Amino acid sequence: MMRILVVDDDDAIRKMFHLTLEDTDYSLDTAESGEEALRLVKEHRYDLIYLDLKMPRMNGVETLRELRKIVGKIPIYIITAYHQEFFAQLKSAIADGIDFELLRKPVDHQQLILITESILGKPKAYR
Amino acid sequence: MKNTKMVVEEGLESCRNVVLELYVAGATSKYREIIEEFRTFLESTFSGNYELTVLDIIDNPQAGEDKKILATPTLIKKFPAPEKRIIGDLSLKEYIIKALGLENMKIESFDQQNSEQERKKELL
Repeated sequence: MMRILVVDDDDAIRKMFHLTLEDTDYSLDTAESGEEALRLVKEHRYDLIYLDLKMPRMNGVETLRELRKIVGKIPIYIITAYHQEFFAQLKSAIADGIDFELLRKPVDHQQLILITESILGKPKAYR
Repeated sequence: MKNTKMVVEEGLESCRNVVLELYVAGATSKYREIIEEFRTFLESTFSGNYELTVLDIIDNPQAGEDKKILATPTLIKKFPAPEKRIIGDLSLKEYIIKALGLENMKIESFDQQNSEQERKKELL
């Protein structure tokens, strides 16, 4: 079974991921901080990580940099709204060759299932 | 004046059999290689009769917002209608072309259609 990690300090977002993906074939773990995420990736092997950009203490980009040292090339999706102000740190990560993708916020249940299945299975066309 | 511009743009768009837009997050070396490979594939599949525009959401977040791009990478088939989107692994080239409904636009399909027409002409 493929395993997904969701890292978000917002309890409502973590619950939304659980509710959406609980009836799928994926196993889901959640972390409420970058520190907790780093502990989990040392204990388990994940196929996909969804990572919130704006978190207190260790933010999404700092967590991304540390996660990449441990998890190798698995897809890491940064959860964010598309605003220039959020992307300055992401640009510096790109300049350092750190790989990631973007997941637009907000996202609904159906969209999240479509995206997850497209990343972990075969991509699905939609209108 | 505005209408004139729209007509010109539509005219330009219809010059290509296939019009695609690709939304990515960052022009990393990984993407450069993937896009190059994808362009080579499109070139041979559609015999150069395609248009692929690559937009980097990190450089241009508004483009991602305007198009409501759910996740990267997203490939949009703008033409022929209907517009269709696909998220994910661009290395699955043949699969993507089929999923976007572009299989009958492949150059061999045109060749087959032309041979069919020529055969019919000969029979007449």
